[in-house]
Amino acid sequence: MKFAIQFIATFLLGVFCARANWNVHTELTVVVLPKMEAANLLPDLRDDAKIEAAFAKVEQLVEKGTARLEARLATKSDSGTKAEAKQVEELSYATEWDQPEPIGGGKVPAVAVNPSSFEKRDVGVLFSSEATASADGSVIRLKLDHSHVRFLGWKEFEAARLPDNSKVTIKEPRFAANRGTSELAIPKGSRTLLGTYAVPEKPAETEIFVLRAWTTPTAK
Amino acid sequence: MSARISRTLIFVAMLLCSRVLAEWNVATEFRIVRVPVRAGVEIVEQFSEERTTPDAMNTLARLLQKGEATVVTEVFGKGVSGVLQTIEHIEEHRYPTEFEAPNPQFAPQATSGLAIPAVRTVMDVRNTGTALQYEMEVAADGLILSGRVACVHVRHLGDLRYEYGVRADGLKYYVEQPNFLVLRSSADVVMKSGLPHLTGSFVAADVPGQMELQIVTMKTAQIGVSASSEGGNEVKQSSRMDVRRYRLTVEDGTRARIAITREKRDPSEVLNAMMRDSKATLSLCASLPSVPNQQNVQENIIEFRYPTEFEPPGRVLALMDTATRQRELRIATARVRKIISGFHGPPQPYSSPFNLPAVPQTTFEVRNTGSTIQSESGSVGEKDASVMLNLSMHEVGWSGFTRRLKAVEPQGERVYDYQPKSATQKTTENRALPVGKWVLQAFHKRPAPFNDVEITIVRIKTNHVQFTHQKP
Repeated sequence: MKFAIQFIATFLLGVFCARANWNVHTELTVVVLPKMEAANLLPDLRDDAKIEAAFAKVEQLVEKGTARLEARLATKSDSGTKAEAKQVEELSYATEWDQPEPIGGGKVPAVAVNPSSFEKRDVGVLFSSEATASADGSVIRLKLDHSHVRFLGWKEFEAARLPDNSKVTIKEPRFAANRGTSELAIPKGSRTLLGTYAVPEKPAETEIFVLRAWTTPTAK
Repeated sequence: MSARISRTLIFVAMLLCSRVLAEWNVATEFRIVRVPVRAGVEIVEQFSEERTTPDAMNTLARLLQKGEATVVTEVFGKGVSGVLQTIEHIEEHRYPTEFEAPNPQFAPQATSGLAIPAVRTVMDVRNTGTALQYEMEVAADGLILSGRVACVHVRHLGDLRYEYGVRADGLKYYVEQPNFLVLRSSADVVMKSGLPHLTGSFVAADVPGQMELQIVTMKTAQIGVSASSEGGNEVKQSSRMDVRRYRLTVEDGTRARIAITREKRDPSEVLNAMMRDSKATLSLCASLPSVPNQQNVQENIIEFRYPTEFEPPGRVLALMDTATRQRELRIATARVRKIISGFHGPPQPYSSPFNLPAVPQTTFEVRNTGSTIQSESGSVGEKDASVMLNLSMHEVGWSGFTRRLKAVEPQGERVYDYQPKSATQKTTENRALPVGKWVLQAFHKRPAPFNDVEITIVRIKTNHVQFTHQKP
C-alpha cells in the first residue's frame, strides 16, 4: 500500500515536471556574405562548438558593410505551438488576359491588352516554427520552414506589334527562392547554422540562415 | 525506509531522464560539381569504394584549384534524424502553355500595320535550380546513416519557337515553349558520417565534354543523452551500380565488341582506351548507390514540349525555309481574297484583308528525351560472387520532325501536320551480375540520322557496413 502511494506520488511528480510551461524564443538571422568571406567562415559556422565566435565575425562584417543583413526575425510562443514571422512586400501580378482590344480612334491603330486575373506573392523572408521544449527546458525540438523569396524582374511576351514595329508586351514575374523545411533539436540558448545557399544572379555571394533558440519559464 | 527512498528516487530519476531523448542532428552538404569527362570517369571510379573516396575529393580539389572544375551549386541544411527534410535553391520559371488565335478583326496586315500574334491565355510554373530531400536514420554510435536521398537539378535550356506564319515583310509569328534539362537521382543509401557520398553522375547534354557529379556529405551531432541500453550489432549491405554508355562508329564498335566477347578483355579497359584515342565518346556515366531490395532511379532527361492541338485548319509552318513559307502565304492570301470577295458584309476595318489560315498551335505536350535507369538489387553475402539485379534502362533520342500530309484543300494547297520523331531503346532484365566486374549489357545500333553504335557496360560493387543499433 505504501509503495502504491509512493508510486502514485512519483508518477504525479513526473507528470507535473513534464507539464512545466515554457516559452520558446527563436531568432532567425539572414545574412549575405561575399563568397570569399563565406568560404573562410563556413567551416566554423557549421561546427556547433565554434559557431558563436564565427557568428560574432559575421556581425562585424555586417557592421563594416562588407556583409548585408537581409532579415532578423524573432518569435516567442508557448512550447508546442506554432509561430510565424515575415518581412515581405506583397507583389501582385496578372495571370490571365483578355483578348486584345482596339483603342483610340486616330490614324494609328492602338491596342490594349487587359489583364483579367491577378495573383499575389510575398517577396522577402518568411519564417515559421513549431517549437517544443523538453520537460526541463534544456532541449528544444523545432519544426521549421524558412525561405527567402526574391523578385528577379519581368519576363516579356509579345502581345502585339504596332505599325511602327514597336511591341506591346505582357509581363510575367520571375521569382527565386532559397528555402528549407526541417526538424531540428538543439540545446537551449545555442545557435546553429540552418542553411547556406547561393544568391540568385549574384555568383559572388552566399546567403546564410542562422537560428538561435532559448527558453524561459512562463510567468505565474 | 532508506531502501524505499532509494527506490523512489531512482524511479523519479528514470522518469525524468526518460524525457530527455537521444536525438541526432544531421548536417548535410550537397554539391554539384562539373568536371571534364575523362577526369569525371576517374573520380566516379574513386567514389566506388570507401577507401578511395578521399582520393576522389583530393582530385576534385585539385581540379577546382586549377579552374578545370566548377561548382554548379552548393547548399547546406540541418535537421533531426528520422524526419523528412528539404532544401531548395530555385527560380520559378513561368511560361505559357495554352494559346488562342487572335480575333479576326486583328488580322495581320499584309505588309505593315497592327499585328496581333497568338494570345497567351494560360501560364504554368516550373521550378529550375536544385532541390534535395532526405530522411535519414542514425545508428546508436552516430557513425552510420541510412535512408533515402533524392536530388534534382533542373536547368532552363532556352525556348523553342514554333512559327505559324511569316508576313511578307519578314515579320514572323510564333509561339514559344521552354525546354528544361532535368538531372535526378533517388536512392536508399548507407553512408558514414563525414564521408562524402556520390549520389549521382551525369553527362550533361548542354555542356559538351563535361560531367556533373552530385555529392552529399552528412555529419551527425548528438543532442541529449540516451537512456536506452546498447543493443546488438547489425550488418547493413550497401551497393553501387555503375552504368556507362559509349558511342562509336559501327567499325570501332564492332572492334570493341570482338575484344570484349571473343578476346574476353575487360570492357571498361577496352572502351576507356578507345575514348583516350578519341574513337569513343561517353554518352552516359551513371553511378547509383542503393541497398538491397530498394529501387533507385537516375534520370538525365530533357523535357521537350511540342504542339498537339492546333486551331483549324491546322497548318503548321514550322521549320520551313522562307521561300516555301512565302509561297504558302501567297496561296493562302489568294484563297482568302477569293472567299471575301464573294461575301456581302460590312467593310473590313483594314484596307488589305489578310487572314492567315495557318493559325497557331494551341496546346502542348511534354516528351522526356534522354536516359532513365531504374535498378533493384538483391541481397548478397560477404563472400558471394554474384548478385541478382533487376535493371530497366530507357533511352529516348529526339530525331527531328516528321511531316504528314493532312489534307488537300479544294484549291490544291497541301496542308501538313508536323510531329516530333523519337528513337527509343529500352531493356528490362533480371539477371545475376558478378560482383565487382564490368559486364557488357547492351550493344545497339542507332537508326538514321545517327548511324552509330552504343555499347553499354554495367558493374555492381557491394559493401558490408557493421554498426551498433539501440534496443527499442
